[in-house]
Amino acid sequence: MKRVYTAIVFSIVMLSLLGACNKEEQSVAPTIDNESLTTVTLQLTNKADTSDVVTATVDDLNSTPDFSDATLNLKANTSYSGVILLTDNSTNPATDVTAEIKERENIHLFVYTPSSDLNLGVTITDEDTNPSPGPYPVGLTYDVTTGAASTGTLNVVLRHQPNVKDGTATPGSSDLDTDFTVIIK
Amino acid sequence: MKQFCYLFFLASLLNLTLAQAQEKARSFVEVFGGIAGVSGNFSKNDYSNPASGFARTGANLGIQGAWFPGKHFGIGATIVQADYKVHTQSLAEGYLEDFDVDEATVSSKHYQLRSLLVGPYYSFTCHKFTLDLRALVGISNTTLPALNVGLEDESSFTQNKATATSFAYQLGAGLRYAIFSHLGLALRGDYASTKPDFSVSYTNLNNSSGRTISMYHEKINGFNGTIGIFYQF
Repeated sequence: MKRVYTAIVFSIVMLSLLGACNKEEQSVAPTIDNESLTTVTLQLTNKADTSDVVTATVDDLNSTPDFSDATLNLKANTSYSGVILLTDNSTNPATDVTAEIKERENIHLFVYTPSSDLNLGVTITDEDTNPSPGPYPVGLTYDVTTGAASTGTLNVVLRHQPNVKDGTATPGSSDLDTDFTVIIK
Repeated sequence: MKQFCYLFFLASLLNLTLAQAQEKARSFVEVFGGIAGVSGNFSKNDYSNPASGFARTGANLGIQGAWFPGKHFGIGATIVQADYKVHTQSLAEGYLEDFDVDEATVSSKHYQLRSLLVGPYYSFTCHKFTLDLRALVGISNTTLPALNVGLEDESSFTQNKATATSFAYQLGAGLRYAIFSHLGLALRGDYASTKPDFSVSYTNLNNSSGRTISMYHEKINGFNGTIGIFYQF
């Protein structure tokens, strides 16, 4: 009977050791290249006249940016509805990055900041699907309201906020940060 | 053909044992350990499938015994702990894609399954060999380990540890060989199954992105192969 008790005690000790061997293991997914983005276009449609469409594009964002077509010529005291279009032209065929951002809208935020000398307001009109306290703005669509004639810049930043998106621009990192010249006449 | 050969061998062995088994099976206490197999959804690594358990083949360790009041019939019990590693690499790659980050890390301890099972044994003894057939039922307490997910920019969240208790059963056979009068080695193979119902919660999951589950209710089953040292009396 003593041997039976010995066997039981031995087993309990072994079970305890097995429990103690439950070490934490870690896996790291391999680092991948950043999402490539070569071209960003702002497309504004006059709400009072839908045939009045204004676009501006910054190209070659992955090398030396081309600002030759990056000017928005807007009418004073006018409301526009806008969209932002992102493309990666370094691939063949070109990649629609806008769709990718839409797919990952819960971790992305566009921030539109007019310069202080520009009479222009931007209001984001789309929202993500984050649960409460969300949803939060995304910025793939937005409204632009112009005031009196003025000239300045509109800074556009795409914030990448994995699991830290809270509706503000602070958390995360920037996937895009560029300026458009805006002329309001 | 290979499976047929195995079955034929087992049937022949059983037939031979039954024909010669004239001795009373002896009661025993056994310490055992071995491989804990996994199958089904619990073993799948498909990140997009909420039923995937990401479990890998693990190990088990336990104590068991049986008391034989009759020549063949006995009552036995098993206390066993099985540990299954988590396939964290598949999860890390999935979170990397879903959160569109440059680096994702997932760390985790093991699944732990502790079972207490009792049930009948039917055994045949022939000289130094005893063939045990058994069907055990009982309860299992299973722990789903915490998954710590780290994303770039030092953002992280945790799928919290969860535990659940559920009905469990085990069917199997084993062969005991008495090296000495009271001491011997045993080889066993069992199919074990349980289906715990976990409620899953998260800490610091701020955005609705990446794989999240609110519950996990899948079978944890598989074939266990063990070797043990027994004391018989």
